[in-house]
This record gives sequence, C-alpha cells and structure tokens, in this order.
Amino acid sequence: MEEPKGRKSGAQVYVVTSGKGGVGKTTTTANLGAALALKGVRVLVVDADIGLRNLDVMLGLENRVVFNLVDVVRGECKPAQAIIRSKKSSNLYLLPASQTDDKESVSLEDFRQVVDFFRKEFDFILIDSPAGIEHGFKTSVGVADEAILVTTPEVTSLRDVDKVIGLISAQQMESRLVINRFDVDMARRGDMLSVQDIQEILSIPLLGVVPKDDSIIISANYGEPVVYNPKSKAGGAFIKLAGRLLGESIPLDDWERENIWNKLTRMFKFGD
Amino acid sequence: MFELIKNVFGHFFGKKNRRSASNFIAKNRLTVVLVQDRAGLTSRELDEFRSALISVIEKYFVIDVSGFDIDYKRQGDCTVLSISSPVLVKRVNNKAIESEIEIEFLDENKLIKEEAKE
Repeated sequence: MEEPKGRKSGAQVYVVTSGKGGVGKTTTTANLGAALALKGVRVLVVDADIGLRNLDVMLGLENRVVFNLVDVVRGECKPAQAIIRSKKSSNLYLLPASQTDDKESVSLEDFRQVVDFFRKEFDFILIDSPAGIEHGFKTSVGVADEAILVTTPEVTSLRDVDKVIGLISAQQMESRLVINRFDVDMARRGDMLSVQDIQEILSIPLLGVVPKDDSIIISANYGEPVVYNPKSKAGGAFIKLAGRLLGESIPLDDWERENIWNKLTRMFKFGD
Repeated sequence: MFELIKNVFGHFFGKKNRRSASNFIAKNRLTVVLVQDRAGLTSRELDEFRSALISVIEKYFVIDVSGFDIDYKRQGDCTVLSISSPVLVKRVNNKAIESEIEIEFLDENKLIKEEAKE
C-alpha cells in the first residue's frame, strides 16, 4: 500500500444514507468518491450493506474482491489486504461488504476499529449505508463524522429522509442533502416538487442536486462511475458536489434554484 | 393585464394552475404528515390537541379559528412547537382591544413567549 499523504488529523468520514431504499446512495457514494479522487484526494469508499454487496459492481470491481469488511473484523486478513484500488484512479479504494454473512455480523465497536485504522491512510472515507434505520444504518452513522443524506423529489423518500434527519440530529451530527433524480421539466410543469419546496420542507443545508440522467444507468452497466463521462449532466453534478465537500464555493445553477416561470414572474412584477 | 398574459403563457407552456398542480398538493400533504411524524402524535391526537388549545385561548381572546395553525418546525438541532393564532379581539375587563398575537411554545421547557404585533 502506498504511503499516505501526510494528513495529521486523519480522514473526514461521511455516512451516505437515506432511509428509503433505491434513491441513489450507492450511486452517490461511488460517484462522489470518484469525483473526489479526480480532484487529487485520497478516498476510501466502504460498502456497509452486509449481505447485499453493491458498491463493487457499481465501480466495476466485482471480479477483484478477495476479502471484505467481515473478514477484517474477524481477523482473517489484514485491513490493507481487503481494500481494492479502483481501475481508473490510484486515489480511490473500495472496502467491499460481505455477500454471505448476515447484517448483524459487524458491531459498532468492530466497525469503529476498522474505520479508525483507515482514517490514517485516507483523506476522505465515504460509507455507503444500507437502506432502513436498523442495525446497519446505526453502525454506519455511529462511525461517521458527518452525514450526506440522499433523497429524490418524491413524497415517499422525502418522508423517510425527514425521519433520518431527526435521528441524525439527535446524534449531534451535521447532515447535508443530495436531491437525486431531479427532473427540471417536470418541476417546471408543476409535476414535481421544486428544489425550493424540498428545502422548505426539510430545512437542512443542500449539498447539491443531481439531475435524472440515463447516463447513470449506462455507466453502471459498464461498471464505471458517471463522473468520468464529460457529456453526462449527472457526472457534472457529482463533480460539483465533490467540490462543495472540499469547501469550494460553487453556487447552484439556475435550474437547481427555481423554475424559469418564477423568474419571469418576478421580472414582470416591476410593471404591475 | 399581467394576469391575462400569465394565463396565456401558462397555457402555452402547459403550466398547470398552481393550486391544482400535483406538486402543490404533494407539498401540502407532506407538510401535514411531517408535523405528525415529528411530533409523534397521530392525526387524531393532533386534532384533540388543537381543540384543547383553541378552547384555552378562547377563554382569553376572541380568535379567528380558520387562521389557527400549529407547526412543529425544525430549527437547527432543536424542534420548536409553534402556534399561530390570529386574534380578533382581546378580552380585558370586557373591553375590546384589537391585536395580533403569535404564541411560541418551546416543547421541552414549556416556556410561553408572547410577541404582540400591532
């Protein structure tokens, strides 16, 4: 394993979670990780969904998995043996989940020890939490410094993420929101909640908005993060999100902030 | 004139009337259900709470019940129970005084903070 970059304070650990399943936690973890790596940051992405391994497939690393998180916890291998370097970036590593063990195999204390080991070796650790609010969620949140919450603009995922916001603030932890699968046209037509609506409802800081984009599915088919595709709108969005995580000041695009109708309305009000 | 232009453009771009748009309805539904979720009260318990509050306030003020609103808001890492009650007339020694009052309860501490708006 290569020498770490010499960060004295250790990695910043984020849990990527949502409550609702299928809203894009794994996609967000993989792509945020890849985008951070593109910016020169050393990132470890951790698949904490024991028994339902996914992050490896998203990164095209499914054939390289030898050891996993549970093996590390059980002492069957050294931690460094379990992490897999990504195909395209020497800054991005994956710690895969077990595909066979049951969800309760890793306790909070076990997980904390593993994460603390890797804090010395990386700048960022992103933990892909399982869906739900049970054991896997609790341990993933328990080891993290901050939360990245993923939702879609649908009533179901919004309700669930609101509950997660409550659980996470009870831990005195900061969280930031990612709105995934946002459809600008639907929002303009009044068929989808706007970014502003969602911010009013949930009242937490917004990390960013990722548009609905077929290239996400296509990239996943190839086993490649969508951020490597310069034509992808979603890829571009994830790169901005990564920038914001690094403290870069990147304002929201017009389409993310409000629909064009509100803008025109405001313009016309002068003549009223 | 502006309303006319807005309606013409609206139909042109297929924009629905705001109040019948599904996102408007979704936002209202979510707002209501999240108040229940955050307060941990069922919709019936919330109704009972609301009625109880209204009857207490009506002992001291004549209020506009249609404008009465309870919100369970998140403010940073606290949650605040916020009650908004448009007051028509204040009952003080049977004399009528008009004012508007917003009453805020901090949920754990049961502090009552009154702000009179003239």
